Amino acid sequence: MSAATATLPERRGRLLGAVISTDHKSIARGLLVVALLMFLGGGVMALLMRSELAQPGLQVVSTGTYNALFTMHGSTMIYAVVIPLALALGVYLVPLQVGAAQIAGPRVALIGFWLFVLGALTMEAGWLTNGGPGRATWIGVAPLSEFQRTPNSGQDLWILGVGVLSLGQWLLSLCVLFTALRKRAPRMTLLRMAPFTWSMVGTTLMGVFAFPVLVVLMGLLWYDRRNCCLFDGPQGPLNYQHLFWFYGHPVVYVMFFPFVGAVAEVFSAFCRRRLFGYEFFVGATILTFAGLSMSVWGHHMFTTGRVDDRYFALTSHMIIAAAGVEYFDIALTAWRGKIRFTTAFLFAVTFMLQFLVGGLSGVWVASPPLDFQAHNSYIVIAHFHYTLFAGSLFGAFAAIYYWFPKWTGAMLREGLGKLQLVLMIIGTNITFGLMFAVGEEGMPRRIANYLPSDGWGTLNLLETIGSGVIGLGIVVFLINLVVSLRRRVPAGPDPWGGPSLEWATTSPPPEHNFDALPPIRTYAPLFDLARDEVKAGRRRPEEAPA
Amino acid sequence: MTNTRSQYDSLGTTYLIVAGIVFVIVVVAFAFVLIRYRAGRDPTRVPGENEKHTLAEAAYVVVLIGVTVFLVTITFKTLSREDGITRAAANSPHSLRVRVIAAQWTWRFEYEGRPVVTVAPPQDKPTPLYVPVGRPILFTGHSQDVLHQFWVPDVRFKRQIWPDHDEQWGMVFPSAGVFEGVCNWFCGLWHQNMRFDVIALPGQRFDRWLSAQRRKAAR
Repeated sequence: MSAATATLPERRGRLLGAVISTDHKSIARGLLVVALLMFLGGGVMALLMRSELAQPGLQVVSTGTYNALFTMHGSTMIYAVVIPLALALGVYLVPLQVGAAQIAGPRVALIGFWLFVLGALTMEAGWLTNGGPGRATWIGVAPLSEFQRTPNSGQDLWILGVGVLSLGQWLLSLCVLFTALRKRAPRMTLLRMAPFTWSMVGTTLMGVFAFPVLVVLMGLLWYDRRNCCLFDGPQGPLNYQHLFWFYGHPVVYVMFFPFVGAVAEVFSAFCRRRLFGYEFFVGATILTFAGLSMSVWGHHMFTTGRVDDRYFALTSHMIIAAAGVEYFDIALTAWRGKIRFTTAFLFAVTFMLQFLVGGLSGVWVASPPLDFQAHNSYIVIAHFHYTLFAGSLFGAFAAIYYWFPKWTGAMLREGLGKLQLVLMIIGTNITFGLMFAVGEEGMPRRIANYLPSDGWGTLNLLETIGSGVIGLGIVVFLINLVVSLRRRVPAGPDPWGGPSLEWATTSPPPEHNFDALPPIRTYAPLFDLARDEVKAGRRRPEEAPA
Repeated sequence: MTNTRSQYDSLGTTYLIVAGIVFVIVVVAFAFVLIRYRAGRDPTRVPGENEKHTLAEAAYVVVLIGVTVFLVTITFKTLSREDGITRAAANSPHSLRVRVIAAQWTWRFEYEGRPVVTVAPPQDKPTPLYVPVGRPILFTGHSQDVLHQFWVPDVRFKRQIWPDHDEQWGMVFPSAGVFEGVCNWFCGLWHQNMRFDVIALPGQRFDRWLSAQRRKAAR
């Protein structure tokens, strides 16, 4: 607690401290809590949609409400859950992993956090208006989002909220990037940064270029709803799509990179081996991948007939090599390792296998003749839920089970964690696996209703049951959170034997992060320490990481 | 004349096989490593120290690039054949020209050069779109309000339509029958009801239908 707030009465001080603290750990905790609450909200919206789609006909909600639900489910999950979750991991861990006492630009980071919260609340405030929230899809597509077509004030709140929260996310990205570039401890060279920190460098490089585009686009849309004609004419709707996806595609990887980085750390810790092929992982993967991410946006527009199909098919297919190297390096980290099957590790393994389905179906939709069927159908819904839910969110849970002890000083329960994992694996693959089939059969996305004669009823019913199983998994997680925080099992500074610097300080770390830093000679400084101990005969080699 | 259905089927089969092989390799590799190197198997073992192998990694990247080049090549070839459909539809004197007019929340089809229009019957029934089998058709899509998308799942093809713009694409319907068509861009409240039925007739029957419609329109 800072000196300024220590003089206030204890309870008021704690609250105020959480609101105005420029400590990166406090800001990250705020992001995590807001993202978790938003995740529960977005999840309820998803379950409402799934119950509507369980049978042909309209049973649960009206068409208008359904349109609001899918718009806000997508917007909530992307803008207010997965992006902030990705940034929260970076805000908490990058300063620790580079041995810094604080984040670069702590006040800017605090402003970024509050702009994000303000924007997210503004976006959700549409639920309180008479006309309901935004309902022009999560991409706010023009001309549907123009005033004549979607006149409700909830749409204005959506535009304002998305613009403001993206501005906040831009500021947070800058702070994380500059922490890695400018705040590293002495001897922490760029090529000694932890794999997760490198993944955040890739993430924030993309974010720094992408977020302003959405801020500007929302400004233009806001203006256009009151005036006219920015997105009219033969080129106008295409301009909107180009601008949105120039933001949107890098951001798809913003929602993926940090979780790959986290999974790499989890593999390293529980296989007791430093990451295999570090230079390839950093160079070929993070930097090439980030570079390519800026030149693939047109594959969202193959069906317009107005982009160069061949160029965007080529750049999109080139992602194969970058992503393939990640799989190789992470698999070979486990090779000849000494693997402990903790909940965090099992989530990480599941991330690798389930994300693979998302990645391979991503190659499928990168091919224009195949995308001419998949675009805007349930094939695409299946694809990106395999990347974002079956992938990124499983990676996020790996990160949560791995770093929760660092954040709180208490361990999460392993048994409940494994129960949650099993429920989520079953639910996820039923729900999203079957969407490939129903999409191939011709079910479009964003419909509240379909006909009995369409023959999609059975698959949809099973998907709805699957989504309920996912919901149970999340309930188990919430129980785990409550139990673990109520009846605390103390974690100590380094419960797992992790490779990087965050494990060299107390859990949770003091406000200045470190009392003393260990020597930094490689990208796994704590494994180096263990090696030294083995050499000095203080530790048996079979108990130490390599 | 080729069609998008057969192009999709052959390209998709290749992609599916490649994806299947990759999936199996990765699953087997992970299963092997996780079982072989689990800590409980031999508690006295010391974890391996080597953390890089540049040659193996470089060779692996070359393999990945090979796969990428293969997939991009077959995609480009398929695209060229599909472009051929549109070229044939635009240039052939035998091709049929149909104007597609999309508006919230209905479809209208105008047979160009002939005063024939099909519009949605009342009560949200799908608009009929009569087409000849096997003959290239040049569609010209126009929207009166927001984005729409013309999608016929059974022929594996769709194209976006937007206001103030005429978008052209060629299609060939491979077999006779009734195929469902849907709007595939969310276009507002009744988006889900915006459907059409493609009624593909053999050439002569289609011609008879068209001349009957023309006579009806002339009366």
